[in-house]
Amino acid sequence: MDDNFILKVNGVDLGYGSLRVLDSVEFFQKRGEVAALLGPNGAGKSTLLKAILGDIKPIRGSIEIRDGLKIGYVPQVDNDGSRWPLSVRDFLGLFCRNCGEDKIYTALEEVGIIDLADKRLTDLSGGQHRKVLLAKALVNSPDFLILDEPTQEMDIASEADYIELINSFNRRGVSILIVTHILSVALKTAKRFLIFHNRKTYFTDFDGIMSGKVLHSVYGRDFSSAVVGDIPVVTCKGGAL
Amino acid sequence: MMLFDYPGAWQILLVAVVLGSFLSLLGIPLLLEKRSFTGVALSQTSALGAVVASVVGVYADILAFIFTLGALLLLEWVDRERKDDSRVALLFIISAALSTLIVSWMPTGEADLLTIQFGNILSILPEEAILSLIVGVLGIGGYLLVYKPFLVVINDYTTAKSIGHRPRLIQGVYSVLLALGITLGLKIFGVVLVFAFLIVPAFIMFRFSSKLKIWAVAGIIFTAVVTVAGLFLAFAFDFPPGVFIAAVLGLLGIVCWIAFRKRI
Repeated sequence: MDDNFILKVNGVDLGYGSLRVLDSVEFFQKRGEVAALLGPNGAGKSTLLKAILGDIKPIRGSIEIRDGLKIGYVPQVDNDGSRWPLSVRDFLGLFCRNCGEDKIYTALEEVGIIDLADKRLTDLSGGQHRKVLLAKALVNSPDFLILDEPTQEMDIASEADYIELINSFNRRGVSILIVTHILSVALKTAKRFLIFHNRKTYFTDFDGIMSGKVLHSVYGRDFSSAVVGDIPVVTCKGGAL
Repeated sequence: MMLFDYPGAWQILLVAVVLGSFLSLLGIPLLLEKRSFTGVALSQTSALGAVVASVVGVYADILAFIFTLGALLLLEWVDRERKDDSRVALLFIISAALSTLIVSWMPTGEADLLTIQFGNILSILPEEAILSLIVGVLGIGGYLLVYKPFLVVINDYTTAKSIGHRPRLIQGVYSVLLALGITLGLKIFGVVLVFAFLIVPAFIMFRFSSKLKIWAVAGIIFTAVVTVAGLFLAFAFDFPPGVFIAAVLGLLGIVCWIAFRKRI
């Protein structure tokens, strides 16, 4: 196996108590790569993510993350629970460990929200709040970014901006793992995919998705795909994914 | 009667200001997590501990501290994932009912019930005052050490771990400090004023500032000013001090809520 890995999931079984959620998950992500955990809500993506982040232990198998990595994590937005009446600058300052104010401004600049530095989190729109959470993950200059449903409830323009941001970080060498239920978001960013469906997982790459064969075996339906401009589009009966 | 006509006035002032400030700092995370009523449930549980201690004949502060910490363990550790307020309500119901039942059997029941709710700031003994001052000052120092890390932990546990904090340890330190602050405050402030100190200063500071340092520093100053002014006025007009300060805090909170309702 390639030694240039950033994340290896080796035959992992996951569950809560007697409830088994995932069986024999195999997954591999190279350094500098964008990968996606893809599937409908409740399929087990968040469970695997919790295991990757060390919040739950696998029942069987192992998860390896390359030593010495700085991980930046962007959680799902949880009904405003994390929106405090705190300024964006002070909020980022909480997460800026052994780093100065310059790092905070750099992170804000990178995600294009430097003008929001003194605004309260409670005064931000949903899209702005997402960008603050991304800036929060960036203040410690991570090598590996983990994004949980990063574009959930975003409008199409905000989603396009966010995807461009993700791709720009990746071009600078940051490895990225995206958890999403939206295939189009995964296709526009990732090169490696772990698809969750009915307790099973399917590990494939970009070409595997575009061929339609993997999606057919996952969902039992026929898919066709094309690249329009530079945007990959996959369709099945009933519409684009 | 004026405050300084009362023997031990300085120690009353100092203890009230230090413990009030300590509680006002401890309340910031509770409000941020939208768990204000945890404050009153814990205060009431602490009161139950003190009442049980008086029946079984052990030192009240120790049992009050154990009960408060036990309630916190139940809320934060045994059932950490579920933060809806029904569990807080259950704790309050059982603590309030049991403490009232036990006190009602005592010969001085009615007066004791009032003391539980509003404390007796004038009853503090010199040695208790010194102990409360030392523990209060150390508690404020300890809290300021975990202030930011604890906010990181309650905002994003996973990131807290990934940037090198020790979330369990930090949560444990905060739990001990909260139990300590409530236990020390209970005797002189009572359930209602402990709750008021936990909630009102942070509630008001959130409306005036979006800065962490200002929440802490201005919260302490505000608490000190209201406590000192409240004590002077209570003595001047012959009101029970605990009840009077609680009423002033509550009134200021409501005024801020209405006047600055669009700020948050």
